[in-house]
Amino acid sequence: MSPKRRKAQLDADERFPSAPLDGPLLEVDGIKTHFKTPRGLVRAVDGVSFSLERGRTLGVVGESGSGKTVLSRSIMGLLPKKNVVREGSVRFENREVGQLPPQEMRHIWGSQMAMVFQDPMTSLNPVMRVGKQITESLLYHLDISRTYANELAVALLESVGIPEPARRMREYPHQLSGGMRQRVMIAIALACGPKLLFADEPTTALDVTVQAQILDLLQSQQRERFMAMILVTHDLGVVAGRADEIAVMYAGKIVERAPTKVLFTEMRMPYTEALLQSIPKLSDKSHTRLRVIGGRPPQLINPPTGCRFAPRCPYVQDKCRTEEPPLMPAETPGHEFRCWFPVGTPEGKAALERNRQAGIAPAAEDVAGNGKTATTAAAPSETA
Amino acid sequence: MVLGAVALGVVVVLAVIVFAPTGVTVAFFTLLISAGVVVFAGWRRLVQVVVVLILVTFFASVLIRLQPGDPTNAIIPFSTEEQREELREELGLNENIFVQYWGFLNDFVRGDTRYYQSAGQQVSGQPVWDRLGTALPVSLLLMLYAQILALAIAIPLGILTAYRAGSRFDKGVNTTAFGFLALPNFVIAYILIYYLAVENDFFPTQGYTTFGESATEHFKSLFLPAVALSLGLIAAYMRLLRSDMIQTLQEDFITMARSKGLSTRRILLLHALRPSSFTLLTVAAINLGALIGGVIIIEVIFQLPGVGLLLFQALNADQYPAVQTLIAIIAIVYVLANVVVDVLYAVLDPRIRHARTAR
Amino acid sequence: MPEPPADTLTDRQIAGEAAAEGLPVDAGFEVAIAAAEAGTEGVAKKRLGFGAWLSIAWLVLLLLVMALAPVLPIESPRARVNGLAFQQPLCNAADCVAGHPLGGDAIGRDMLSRLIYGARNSLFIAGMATVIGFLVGGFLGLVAGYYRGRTESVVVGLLDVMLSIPALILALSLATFLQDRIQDIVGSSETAGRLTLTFALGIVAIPTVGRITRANTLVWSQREFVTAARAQGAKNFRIMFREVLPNVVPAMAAIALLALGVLIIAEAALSILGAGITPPAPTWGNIITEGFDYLTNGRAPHIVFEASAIIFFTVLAANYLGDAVRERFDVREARL
Repeated sequence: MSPKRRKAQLDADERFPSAPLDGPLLEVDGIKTHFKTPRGLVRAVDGVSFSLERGRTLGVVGESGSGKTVLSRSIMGLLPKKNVVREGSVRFENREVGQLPPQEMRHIWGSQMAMVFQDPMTSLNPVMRVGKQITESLLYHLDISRTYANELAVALLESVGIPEPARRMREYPHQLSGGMRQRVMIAIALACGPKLLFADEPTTALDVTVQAQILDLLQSQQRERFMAMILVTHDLGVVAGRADEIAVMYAGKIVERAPTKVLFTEMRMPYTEALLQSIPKLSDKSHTRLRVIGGRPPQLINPPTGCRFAPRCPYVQDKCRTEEPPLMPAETPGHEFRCWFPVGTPEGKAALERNRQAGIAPAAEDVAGNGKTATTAAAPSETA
Repeated sequence: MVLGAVALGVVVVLAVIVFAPTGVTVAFFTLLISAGVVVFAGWRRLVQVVVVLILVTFFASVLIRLQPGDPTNAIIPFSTEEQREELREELGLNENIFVQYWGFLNDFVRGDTRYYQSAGQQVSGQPVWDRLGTALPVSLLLMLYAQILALAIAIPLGILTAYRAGSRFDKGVNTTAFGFLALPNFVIAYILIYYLAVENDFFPTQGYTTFGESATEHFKSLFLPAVALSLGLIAAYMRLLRSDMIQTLQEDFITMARSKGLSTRRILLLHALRPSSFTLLTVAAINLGALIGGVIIIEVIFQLPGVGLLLFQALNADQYPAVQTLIAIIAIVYVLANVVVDVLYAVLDPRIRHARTAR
Repeated sequence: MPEPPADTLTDRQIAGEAAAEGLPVDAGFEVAIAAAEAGTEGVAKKRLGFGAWLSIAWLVLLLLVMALAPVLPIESPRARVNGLAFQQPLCNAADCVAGHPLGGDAIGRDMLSRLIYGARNSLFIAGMATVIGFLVGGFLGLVAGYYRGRTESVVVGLLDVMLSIPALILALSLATFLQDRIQDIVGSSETAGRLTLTFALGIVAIPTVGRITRANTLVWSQREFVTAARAQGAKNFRIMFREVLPNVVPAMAAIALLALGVLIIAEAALSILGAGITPPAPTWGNIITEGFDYLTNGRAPHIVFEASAIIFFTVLAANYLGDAVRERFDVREARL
C-alpha cells in the first residue's frame, strides 16, 4: 500500500471509530432519491426510513419500478453525480454518511459496506483474472503484502465453496459457471470483512437449482461474520426463510414492514397480500390460473395524489385516491403499514365487499377475456 | 504466449529493417512468418494471406502494361534501340502477362528487385534495395513517432472526455477533434511549416537528419512531420476511445469496482481502459492504410528520404520497374501488418483466446 | 392493458437515452423505463440543427457558384492580370489591383476565379467518384448482403483484395499508369486528367462503400418484411430493390457525404503527388502544389492557405451533414 494511501486509510479509521455495539448499525431516515430527466423528476425513492441492527437481515421486496435497487444504491451512495437529488439522512455506525462526497465514501465502500450485484457475468470485469479482482480490494483497503493477499483470496474462494480455489484464481470470469461467478462476487464483497452487505437480487440471474445454494451461502457467511445484510429481491419466496425483517416497497416508498413471521401471518397492506397470492402453490390444482396483480407499474414522475397503489388495489375507496396514507404502526411491535383499509380489519373487509358488489375491477388484466378480472375472480375467501 | 507474439513481431520488424537481398534470407523469413501466421491465426488465414499477396504483386507487375506504347522509352530515354530491347526482354514485356508476372515474382523473391535506371547508362542501374535500406527506417520511424504521439495524447484525452462526458471540456475537445478530422494532414503540414519553420525558424522546413548524426536535429527534423500526421489520428482515436469508454463506464462491473472502494484513477485506467482498448487497436489497424498514404504525402512535403519520397521520385522519373517494386513492397508490408494486428487482437482479448482454444 | 405506443423505444434505446441523461442504467432499467413511459411520444424526430443548415448553405452556395461560374463577373482562371502577381488578399495599398479580394497567384491570375473553377474540377471529380463508388460498390454490397452464401463470399473476397492495397497507393498507381492511355483515347489533357482521377478514385471508393452497404443490407434483409415479401412470391431482385434498398439508402446517404469529403482530400493529395490534373487547369489540389514554393519562401503563403481553407470548409460541411444524417437515420449507431 502506498504511503499516501496508508495515511488516507488511517484518517478514515479515525473518522469512523466503531459505534457502540448496542446501537443500530444503520439508521435510514426519510431518504429520497430523485433523478432529473427531461421528462420530469423521477422519484425513485420517495421517503424511506428504517433501522438495522448488526447481524440482522432485512429483506426488501418489490416489483420492477418499486425503487428497491435505487434504494440500496442510495444508502451506499453509489449514484451518478449528475442530475441526482438526494435528501434525508443515512447514519452508519452513528456517523452521518448520507451527504458525503465519493472521495470520502470510498473509505467505507468495500471495507465497511459492500454489495453483491445481480448479474455476475456483467458485474465482473471480463478481462481481469478472478484472483486479481479479489486481491485488488484487499490490497487497497488493508495494509498487507501481495503474497498474503493471494493467500487470503484463496481462502476466501474456498470459504464460498469454490473447488480448487488456487486454480480458479488465475481464471477469467467467462470460464466459470454462473453459480461460481456469483460465489466469486460474494467473495469479493466479503473480502475486507464489511459490516453491512447489500445483496441486490443475488439469485435472479441464476438457475433455480443454484439459487438455494447461494442464498444458503449468504446466510452462513452472515452468521459467521455477524454481518448485517439487506437482501433486495422481487421474490417473496427468497426472503421468506432468510430474513429477520421484511420491508415491502412500492413506488419508492415502504408500504409495509414487519418481522418475517408477522408479515406472513398478519399482513395489512393489500399489496403484500396480492404479492403473496401471486406465488403459485404446490397445493393448487394443475391449470389453476396464475393470479396476477393487474394494472401497470406506478408512475414515478408526477405521481398521482393519494395512495400509489390505488389504481390496482382491490380494496380501494375514495379516500385512497385523495389522501395518501402515512406509515401507521400495527398491533405487533415492529410492524408498520400504509393503508386506509387494511387487510384483515373490519374496515378492510367492508371495503372489499363494497367493491365486489359494485363490480369495481381495479384496472386488472382481463386474463380470460370474459369480463371478469383475475382479482375479482379470486374470491376473497382465499386466505393467504 | 503473449511474449511469443511480441517476440515474433519484433523479429519481423527488425527483419524488414535490415532486410538483405539474398535468396536465403528471403526464404528464411518467409518460412518464419508463415509459421507465425499458422500458429496464431490458423491455416485458412495463411491461405488467404498468400492469395492476397499473389494478387497484389500481380497488380503491381501488371501496372507497367497499362501504359500505351513502349514504356522503355520513358524508362531509359537517350538510349539505343538495343538497350531498349534488352530492357524489354529483362522486364518480360515481350511475353504475355503471366510470364511477365512469373519473371517479376522470381526476381522479387530472389531479391533481384529491379533497378533505377539512369539516363545514358547501360541497362542495369542502381538496385532499388540499396535505396530502400536507408529509406525504410526513415518511414518506419516517422510512422512510429506519429503513432506514439497520437496515442500519448488521444488516450488521456479520450479517458478524460469519457469520464466528464457532457461537460464543457468534453464539448470543446469534441468540436476541436471534429475540426481536425476535416483538416487534411498536408494542410496541417503547411500551417506548421509556415508558422514554425518559415516565420520563426524553430524547425527545419525540409530535410532529414539521422539519429546517428545528431539526436536533437533528428527529432527536430521529424517533429513537424510527426505532428502533422498525428493530429488526424488523435482526433480519430480520441473520438473512438471516448465513445467506447462511455459505454464501458456504464457496465455493471464498473459500478462493482466503485463499490469496492477503488479510486477513480484506478477504475479508469485498470478496469475501463482495457476492454475499450480493443476498439482502439482495431481502429489503429484500419487506419494503417490511411497512415501509409499520409506518410507518403508528408515525406514529399518535408522532403524526408523515406519510401514515400522514393516512390514519388520514381514515379516522376518514369522509373516504372522501380515503381512496381516499391508498390509491391509497400503492399506486402501492409498485408503482413494487418495479419499481425489480427493475431495481436486474438492474443490480447482473453475471451477470444479461450474461445479459440476451446474449439 | 393498453398497447404500448407504436414507436416505442427498444430496451437498448431506452437504456441509451437514460444513460445519456446520467441515469443509472444498471438500476435494472426501472427508473429509465418509468422515465420513458412518462413521455409517450417515443424518439422525437430531431430537427436539423444550426450547424447542419450552415453546412447545407455552404454546399449549396458552392454548387451555385460552380455552376454559374462562366457568367459571374470574375476573370478567367487562366488570364494573367498585370500587376496582380503575389498580391495579398484584401489588399488596400495604392499599388494593388482592385476587384481581386483573394489576391493573385504567382503569375498574376486571380485567386478567386481559380478557386471557383478549381471547385468545378475538384468537386466534379470527387462527386463522380463517389457516384461510381456507390453505383458499383453499393450494388455489390447489396447483392452480397442480400443473397449471402457463395455470392457473398466471392464479393467479400474481391472487396478484401481491393482493400489490401493502401488506398492512396492504389489511386496513385492507377492515376499515373492510366493517364496516358486515357489521354490517347480522349485527346484533351484536361478531360483525360478528370476522367483518370474520377476513375482512380472511384475504384478506391468501391470496396469501402461495398462493405458498409453489405453490413447495412445484412441488417435490413433479416427483417420480417423481407420474408413476408418473399412469401408473397416476389422475385429476389424485386425484393432487393423495392424493399431492402429504400431502407439502406438513408444510412448510405450519410456515408456518401463522408466519402465526398474524403475524396476531395484524396484528389488534392494526388495532385500534390504529381498524379493530378496538370496545370494550367485549376483544381484545389494543384493550386496548392503550385503555390507550395511560395509558402516556403514566404512570398505568397496565401495561395496555399486559401485553397486549403476552401477544402477545409467544404469537407467540414460534408462531414457535419454526414454525421447529422447518420444520427437521424442509422438505427444502430448511438450518438457518438
